[in-house]
Amino acid sequence: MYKFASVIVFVLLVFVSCSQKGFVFDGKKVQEVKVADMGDLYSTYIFSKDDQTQLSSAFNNKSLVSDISAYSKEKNWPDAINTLEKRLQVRPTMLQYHFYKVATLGNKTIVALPPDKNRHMPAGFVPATTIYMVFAGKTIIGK
Amino acid sequence: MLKLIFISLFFISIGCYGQFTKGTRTVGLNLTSFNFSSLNSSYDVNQIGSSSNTNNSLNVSITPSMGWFISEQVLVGGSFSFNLNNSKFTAGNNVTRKGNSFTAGIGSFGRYYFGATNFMPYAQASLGVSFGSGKNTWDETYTTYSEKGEGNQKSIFNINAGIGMGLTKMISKNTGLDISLGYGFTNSSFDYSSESNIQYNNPPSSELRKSEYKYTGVNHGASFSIGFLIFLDPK
Repeated sequence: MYKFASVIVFVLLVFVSCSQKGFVFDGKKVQEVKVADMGDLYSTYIFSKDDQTQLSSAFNNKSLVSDISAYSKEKNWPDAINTLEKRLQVRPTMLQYHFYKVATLGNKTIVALPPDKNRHMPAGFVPATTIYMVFAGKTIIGK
Repeated sequence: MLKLIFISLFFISIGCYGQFTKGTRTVGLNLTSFNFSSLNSSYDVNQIGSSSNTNNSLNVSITPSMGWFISEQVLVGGSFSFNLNNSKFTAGNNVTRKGNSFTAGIGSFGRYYFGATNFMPYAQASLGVSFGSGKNTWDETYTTYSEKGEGNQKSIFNINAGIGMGLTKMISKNTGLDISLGYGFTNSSFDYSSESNIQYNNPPSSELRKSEYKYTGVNHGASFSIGFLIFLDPK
């Protein structure tokens, strides 16, 4: 009986330990970061050939480059944040997103916003799929 | 902190002995989650002024259950689950977003009691499914355009599985207060479609915007539950 209870406790402890903050991207666990200023966001960043080559060499899964290129544009973001005028109104709420740093391009940092880590956001803010945002690197702070 | 609570529950369980009668039935009602939050935040920027946001949300989950002791220590049973979500988000005077969803489901559980004294620790595993729907609306006015829209979450389907440990504290001859901590997984899927109408001011024009997607995802995390359990003698 006690053996059974110990197994249950052990399994619970393992699950709790595994539920630490983190997001698996390209097979690696990436860390959550904070954004200091939402004004440092590039909402329609165009990835140059050099940018794409750099990202491609950094990732194991090459299709992530096209995902980042597509889902870092505001038109593919959730209803509540897909235009500048909307974002200007909801910046305090956008700071409550969970951002995960996935790549660096010179003085810019790319962060991912996975839907499963952002279910706490209000209606209209939760992404349908993982979206990406390109920020000036200086505004990204480790957590 | 959570680890300490689990370890404490485990050691409490070691000190208890006792047994139930096979055939004892139980009827219970648990509050598996209750969360009301009201968040006000503001953001000041020299060049563009300030904006303030308010988000009020309510989430309630209740789980009525029925069970039978198939042996002196093992309780198995079935349960219903009801989950309600309601939220209202405002930004300044010109942005309002409302959302609500409701799911209902059925499940089963197995529970192993380590004792049958006044203070009964147990380990439990559960499995369930739930179905439902949701809706969100938004009404926004900006300097260059305004937008009104409605989105619908259809065919919400959740599969839940969890394990946990808890205590039943007898507060009368047949009634126990039930408290448990656990870890659960939820595989969730739904179809979402939305339609919004955008009116531009200059030049005056309008646009109908539609979007559709299918969502599938897995959430997992610790959970806390509190409720009552009534023990009914075997017939």
